[in-house]
Amino acid sequence: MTRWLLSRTAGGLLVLWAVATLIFLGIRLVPGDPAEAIMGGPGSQAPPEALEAARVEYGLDRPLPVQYAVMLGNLLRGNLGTSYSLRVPVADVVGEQLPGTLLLALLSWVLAWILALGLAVLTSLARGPRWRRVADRIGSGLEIVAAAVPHFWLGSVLVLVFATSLGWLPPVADDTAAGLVLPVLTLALPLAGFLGQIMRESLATALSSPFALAARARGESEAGVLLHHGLRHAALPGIGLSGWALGSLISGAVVVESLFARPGLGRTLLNAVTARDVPLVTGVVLVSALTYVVVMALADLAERLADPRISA
Amino acid sequence: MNAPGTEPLVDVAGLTVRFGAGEPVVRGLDLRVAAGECVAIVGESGSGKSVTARALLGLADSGAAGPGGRARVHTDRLRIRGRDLRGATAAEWRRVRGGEVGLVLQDALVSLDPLRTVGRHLDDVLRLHTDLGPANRALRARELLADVGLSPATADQRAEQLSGGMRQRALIATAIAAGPGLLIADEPTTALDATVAARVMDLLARLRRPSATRPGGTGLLLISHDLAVVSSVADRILVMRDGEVVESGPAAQVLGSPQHEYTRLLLAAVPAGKPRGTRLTVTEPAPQSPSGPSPMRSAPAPSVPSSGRMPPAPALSARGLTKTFLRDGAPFAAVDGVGFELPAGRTVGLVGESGSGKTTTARLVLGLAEPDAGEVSLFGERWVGPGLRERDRRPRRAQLGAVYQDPLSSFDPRADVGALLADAATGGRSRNARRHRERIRELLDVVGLPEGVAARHPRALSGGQRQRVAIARALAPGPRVIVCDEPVSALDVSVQAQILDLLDDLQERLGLSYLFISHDLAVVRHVSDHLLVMQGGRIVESGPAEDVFADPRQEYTRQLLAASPTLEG
Repeated sequence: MTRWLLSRTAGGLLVLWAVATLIFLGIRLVPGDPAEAIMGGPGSQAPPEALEAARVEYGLDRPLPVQYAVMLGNLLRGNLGTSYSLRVPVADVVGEQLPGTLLLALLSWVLAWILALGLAVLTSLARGPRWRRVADRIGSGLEIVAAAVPHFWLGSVLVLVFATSLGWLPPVADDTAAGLVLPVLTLALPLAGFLGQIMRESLATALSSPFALAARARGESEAGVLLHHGLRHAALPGIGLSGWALGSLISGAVVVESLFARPGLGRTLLNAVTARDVPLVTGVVLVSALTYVVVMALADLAERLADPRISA
Repeated sequence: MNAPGTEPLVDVAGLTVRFGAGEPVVRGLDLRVAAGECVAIVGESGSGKSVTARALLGLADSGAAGPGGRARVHTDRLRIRGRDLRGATAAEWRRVRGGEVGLVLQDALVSLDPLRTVGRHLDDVLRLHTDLGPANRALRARELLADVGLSPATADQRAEQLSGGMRQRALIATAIAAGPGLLIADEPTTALDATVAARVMDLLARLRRPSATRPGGTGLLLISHDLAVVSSVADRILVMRDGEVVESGPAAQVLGSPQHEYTRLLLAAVPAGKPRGTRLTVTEPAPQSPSGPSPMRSAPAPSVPSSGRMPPAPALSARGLTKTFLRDGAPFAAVDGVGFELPAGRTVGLVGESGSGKTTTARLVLGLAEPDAGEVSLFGERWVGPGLRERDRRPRRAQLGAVYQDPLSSFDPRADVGALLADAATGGRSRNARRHRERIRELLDVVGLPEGVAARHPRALSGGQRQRVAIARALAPGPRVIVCDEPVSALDVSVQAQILDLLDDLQERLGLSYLFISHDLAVVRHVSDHLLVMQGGRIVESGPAEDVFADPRQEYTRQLLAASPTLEG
């Protein structure tokens, strides 16, 4: 266990270092003057002296290797720098925006699991080969559609139906619970489609396996077979995909937060990229990467707990 | 209702099962099992014997392979311990399952949930059928494991941590946990080594004896394709074919003076005790190639040594073969100094239990794995050994063929039979079945399959037909030596007999040499001239087959011999 923790930590740090390096290089490869970004963008017509002063202030006049070393040093000390566009420490911005995005992602993740498992269990209830086939077709059709629709389209349609036409829910995210419903649905449905496909298949395999028949022959009820022998098998591939799921939720959050005008890390990132705000982009991406690393480790741990075959 | 004890445990009359609108798979079956009695149902795959077993538990629908349509079960009488179960509710059936009737499923290796421990499985049964609290259930689970000859610590282990025999014992423990009056064992020894299978059969026989909890003894319904397996324990035997019982009676009578032709066919198919060269199939004539060209057109006459020097070189000769793997971080010799000679036109049998190194030996001989030491010669020329690479072997690959246990998984799943054979006949250069139609027809003919099979997919063929296709594919490049790795282990006894006879015919007609690997001593004895007994990676005994059988020198060989099921009665 200790060895596992150490290797996960080392691996995570390696990922963070690689991400930081890639952002550093990527941003320098894009044409344009960061000093202009600091002074309010290319349209601001800042005088050359002001640009020069900004370069000195942010260390942009120094050679690239030195800038890189300074950035890594700052990161090691937990200093994410100051945002060019907002003029506040990046750590403050991220700290302010992170909880909202995490809440959105977490709720969507939970909802996606409920929808996917629910659909898998529902289709598994069909009895007889013919109903099975029908149920499988319906289930897989729903999942493919859900998995295929892009977030921005799904979000727009949900707003049109439930906010504009029916007026049941607010079209933009406010602080109320009702304001969360549409963003969470928009994020959760496509993920539920992906998860549902694999969960339904592994549930069906488990329920038609000899060990399920053996359980029935011991007098276990259908509900008992599902509970004791089905759900864990169905959940396993979903747990394994948790890291990937979170990645898709974070990238989806960029779209969804903009669409529903909901403050959060995604929208902050979008604005930061548009404003060429290098420290803010770096900070947001690094924090996302850190979250990703942590969730991957947790998913790995959960998989080990759920599947005793792995740790052996 | 009669008083318990005077009625048979199971009393079934006129059991008919059909799936959807199809033909019935079980037709008008009558079955009675009394306490302490062992009744065996014997028949081939598809004869309806497993469906019969499941129908007794109200589980006819839960076949592993889902047939087309819902199961419709009709019975004139269905009584278990005097209780009429026709029209029983789901809850009533659940009390019967595990409580009154225990089922040991066919597939011991996959009938335990891989994510749960053996103890949890036992706990399930006890929770469902007894009033015991959790602590007492755990105690009882340990007792049950001891009853079936497993250590109590097995309760904390999962299927993958247990051997095949241990899994089967654990499953038997779950089946008897709630003390059912009847135990149904569906092919309880399939996929088990002979010695392990013998111990499992002993266990089942022991369980039906009267005990303190069950003074009348437990009824045992045994289901198998192999008459030899059931002959030692069954009191009565029912022979089933195509859903119907064609013969039934006391075991001695069915085995001793079979009335039905089909029973005689099944008896003839048992290889145990039949000397080399005896045909195992009664009806089927040897496949004859009509005056067409020989399928072996690329191979030289095998009995004439190509070099022309004095002693003909053996087809295969292995010396000091050694292969070491890492297991749990420690080196482990899977094959340890194995050597043998296979004379041209003969069969060498290699027998041993799972894990003894048989398959690794086959892979080394075939040049599919490189040995750590030792070498193999093919017709006197170095084939595998230091300094030899696959590039050196490729020109001679066609001389050496292989047939495996599971043909389906050794076929490209997208290819039909014609494409498979074209691919093999052209050394992988063409899959165009039409261009090589004549050659494919020849190959199918030589293994006794009609030409029409070429257009079909292996999935649509029976197990025996698939193995014939596998043999045709092995013959396609014109080999002179064939390595057969458990070629009949997955087949019913009657189909096994056909394949063994086919291999015999081919050897005679084409002068093939076989290295024949199997865990089944009776099969190896039937086909081999010379026998190698393998244990723990080493050859522990070798000699002419009949000598080894008549006078085994090693304790291990004697154990194997004793465990091999033979016809009794």
